[in-house]
Amino acid sequence: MRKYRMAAAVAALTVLCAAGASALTGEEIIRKMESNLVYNTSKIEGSMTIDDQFGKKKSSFVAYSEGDTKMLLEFTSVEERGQKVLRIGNDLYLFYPDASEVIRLSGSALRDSLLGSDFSYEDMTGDKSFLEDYTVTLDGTEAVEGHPCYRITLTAKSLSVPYPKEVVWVDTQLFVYRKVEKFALSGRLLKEMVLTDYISRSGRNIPTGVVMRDVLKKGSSTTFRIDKIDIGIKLPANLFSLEELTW
Amino acid sequence: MKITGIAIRNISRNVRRSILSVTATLVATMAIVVLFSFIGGIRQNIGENVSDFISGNVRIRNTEYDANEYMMPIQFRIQDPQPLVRKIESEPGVTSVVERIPFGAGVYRENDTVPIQGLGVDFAAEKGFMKIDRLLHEGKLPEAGKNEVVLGPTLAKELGVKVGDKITLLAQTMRRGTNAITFTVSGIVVFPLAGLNGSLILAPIDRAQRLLGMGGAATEILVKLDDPAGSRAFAKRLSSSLSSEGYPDLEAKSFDQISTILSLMTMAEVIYGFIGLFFFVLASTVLINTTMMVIYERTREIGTIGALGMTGGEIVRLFFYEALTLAVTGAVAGMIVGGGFSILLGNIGIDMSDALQGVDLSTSNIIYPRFQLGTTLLIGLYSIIISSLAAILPARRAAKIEPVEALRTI
Amino acid sequence: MKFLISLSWKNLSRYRKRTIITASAIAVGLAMYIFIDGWLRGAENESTQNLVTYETAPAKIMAAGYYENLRRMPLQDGIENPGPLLAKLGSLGVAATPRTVFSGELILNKDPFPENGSVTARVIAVDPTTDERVYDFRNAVSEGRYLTPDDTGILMGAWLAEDLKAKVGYPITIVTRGRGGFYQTIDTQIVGLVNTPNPAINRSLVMMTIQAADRYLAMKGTVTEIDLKLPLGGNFDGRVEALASQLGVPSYHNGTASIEVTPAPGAIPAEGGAQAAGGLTMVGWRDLAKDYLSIAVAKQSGSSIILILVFIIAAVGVSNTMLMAIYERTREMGMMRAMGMQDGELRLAFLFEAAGIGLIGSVIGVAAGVLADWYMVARGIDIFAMLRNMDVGYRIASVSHSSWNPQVIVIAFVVGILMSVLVAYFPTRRALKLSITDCLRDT
Repeated sequence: MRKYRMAAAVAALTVLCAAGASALTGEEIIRKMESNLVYNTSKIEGSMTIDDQFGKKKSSFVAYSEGDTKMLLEFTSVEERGQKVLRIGNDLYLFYPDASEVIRLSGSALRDSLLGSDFSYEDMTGDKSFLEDYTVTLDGTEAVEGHPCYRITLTAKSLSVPYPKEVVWVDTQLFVYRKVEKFALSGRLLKEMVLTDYISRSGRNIPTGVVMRDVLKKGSSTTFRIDKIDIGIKLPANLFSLEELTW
Repeated sequence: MKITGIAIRNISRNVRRSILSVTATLVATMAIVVLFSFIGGIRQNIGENVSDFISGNVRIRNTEYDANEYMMPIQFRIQDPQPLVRKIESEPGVTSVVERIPFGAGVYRENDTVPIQGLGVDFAAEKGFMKIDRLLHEGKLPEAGKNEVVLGPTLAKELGVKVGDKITLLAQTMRRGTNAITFTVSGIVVFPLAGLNGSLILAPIDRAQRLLGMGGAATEILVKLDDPAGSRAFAKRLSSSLSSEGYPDLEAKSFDQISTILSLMTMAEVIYGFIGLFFFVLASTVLINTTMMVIYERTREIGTIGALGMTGGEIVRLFFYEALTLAVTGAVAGMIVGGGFSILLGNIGIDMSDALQGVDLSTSNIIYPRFQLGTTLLIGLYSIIISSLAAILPARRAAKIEPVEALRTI
Repeated sequence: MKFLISLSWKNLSRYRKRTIITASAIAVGLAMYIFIDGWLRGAENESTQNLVTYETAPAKIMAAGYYENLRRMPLQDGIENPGPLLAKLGSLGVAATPRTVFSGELILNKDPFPENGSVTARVIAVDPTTDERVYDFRNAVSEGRYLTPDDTGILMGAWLAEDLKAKVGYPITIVTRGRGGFYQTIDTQIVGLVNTPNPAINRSLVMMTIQAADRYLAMKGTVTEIDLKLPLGGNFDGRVEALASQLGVPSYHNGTASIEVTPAPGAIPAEGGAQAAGGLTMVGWRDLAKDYLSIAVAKQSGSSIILILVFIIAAVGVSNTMLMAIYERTREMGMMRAMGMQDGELRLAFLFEAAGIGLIGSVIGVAAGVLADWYMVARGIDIFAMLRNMDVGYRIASVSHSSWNPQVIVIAFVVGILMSVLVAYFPTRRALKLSITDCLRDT
């Protein structure tokens, strides 16, 4: 009798293990990818380099964030020194050292590009989770530069989502996105985002180098780098506020 | 028989008729003199406005700028304008030199930033160039280094600001970033060009440089010459010396080489040419009319003296001299009256504000007619010639009639 | 009385030369006046016409929210379900057409364009079948063709095409955001170029069909404006207000919206009719022109200087010849009086003569002026294409036309006659004051 129970137990365990190993759904993959990106609190030192018809321009910054709704970004490069961007939920505020009023961005103003890059203010707002805005389809696996990835197609749930369709390649081991393609409603590829670097920290894999390329405007790309990242740090209580912004 | 003597006596014999004739010539001449002074005033006005606000007599820019002018591409700039400004100032024949930065910006209003045209200027230097201190209507001019601006009354009204209020200007910097500076409105200026009053904001050039991240650069240097007629030559000399003296990417153009301005002035010339032509035709008909009337009325007289033995040729000469004398008197009087009127109006000015509301023809609201002696003399001469010549044909015709016939008409 | 009239008439033909000369002075003056006035007025009218025929339309209906943010062209604030409103306008006899205007970026690719580039544009989506009720683009196509109802191509302003080095047949991709905010690309090609008398349009127009825009932008029948054709002259603002209240829509004028209008009987009810969150508003072209550009239509008064000078010259010409004529006939007047004619009758006779001369002069002058006007109205003068790079405020392209101004023509006619009579009156009176013998004495 014990022999049978053991066999049954082993059999059941095997089945369970097998199920556990292969049955990752698209949603789960996305969730795992996003868990790498959302932190209770973080401090990031990094830079953004724009490369287009006018040449190369690099801007460096320090950014604090809390969850996925609050962020304070301060530029440290010479050109933009003192300029800050504050995000609270879906509202964006810009602070310029020489201006005595805070510029509030809302509505269609959010579509303006950040510093002329391929990222817009809009990209910095909104829920970070794909799952809120998209339905997820797991297409299969495909290699990106030799790294095996899950290929996932995201279809927007409503017309208010900027990119009606996105295709994400998520590394099967690291659960970071290796490549993201963003499409217009017509199906035309608009932007392509490629991972160039990542680090592992506290059990997470964090992208530290990303290149966003505008496919239609040939020759235009923006590179985003994280040079230093601290997670789970203690942030001052009133950091994400307008008072702090104007200080 | 001395013909001229008879002519003079005839004139004084019939004073009324002589006066009428002279009056016609006087009025026609005067009207044209005034009109041409008016046109001259407009022409000079356009020239001044173009020079003060748009291009100077000669303008220096980066060669790449003009190709994309409508974008106001501040990256195509003059790196270190100050030494160049000093150098040009010291040249002979130069009245004033200024550096400027035209730029596009927006006045921040939540949800609806108002686009405006910005101009970074050196206010001290502009006192001598666009005479900015004379345009000041309220408040005071911005001080260098302070975040102050001046703007026109129409724009102030649209933005709902008055002297002392603050506005925040948003602009794209030279390296395509963004920047914003809050300025205090230190004063209201009234530009003679109506269009600028609704769109232009003047800021100290160092503040504009800071806003746009331009360091110490400017995008244009404007030059005013003592004698604008020499603009082309000056621009040519300047252009060649620029490339040889370490400014290879800059070029100098005189105002009439700048296509937009050229088109404007050419069109103005065409329109005024038309108007002048009309007036000449009209005035000519009056002169011819009057002279012919005179002759016609005196057909009987012509018959009489013909019967008394005067030859046809002598008759024609007689009437010609009469007409000439009257014409000269009328024309001279007309020139004097017309000239006087023009000079008077030249000091008072004619207010065209109603007509020009919103039309950006680069003419001011107040036009000062410009009396030009040369043109006036030419007009007078023309009147004399037309009036006298107009006498010949009818006189010849009248002289040919048989004296009996002539005597018959009452 | 009849005798006096026939006397005057005979005198006119007796002194034919004098009549002709005096009348011609009047004629020239009047003709010039009419011509110059017509031309100046024409320029102003043309400017208005160009603005209204190609840019602003006489009036537009938009969602209040859309009009407040006109610069941003927010597709969310459109007119939903415009059908009933359009039908209502039709039943009122008002020509109307729907349009959707949105902002987009034109992506140009090397080959066939000289190089890669992009330019922001304001794209106007029209209904090709109804648009010509209000605008006149079909006749402005200079190359290629006009849009067909199911067209996927675009029309471009001729000067814009020139700036971009674009030709008919070239492909363009428009990147824009649809209703809701999603990115959209429209792959299209230029099917025609448009050359209108309006330089601003020539410099900026990109036009596609509203049917295509509806699909691409997921408008679901919503449009951003309904453009109306209303006659311009007279009490235009009153007309707009009247129509607005008939539709139950507030009209917006000079910076203020009219008070909430109680819908007139027969006005569109809110449910089932055209609607927009926040309501609709109607705006006349003057207010629209202010929003699109800072232009106010120039007024006539500046030209008065020119007209005054014309009048002076003409008046002098007439009075001169008239005075001379009267004075020369003092003797004749004396004789008539000696023969028993009453002073009053004599005066009348001379005044009739003057009126007759005035009449002849007026007729000729007005005829000449009208002829010149007619030529200028029909053909116009070509002020060549150097208005290309200039923003004159006046919307005029190459050819400048005059406008008819019946008012001025009639006034000129009357003035011609009156001026003659007036000018003849004084010397006649003076001559009549002299004793008869004095009159006869004057040779």
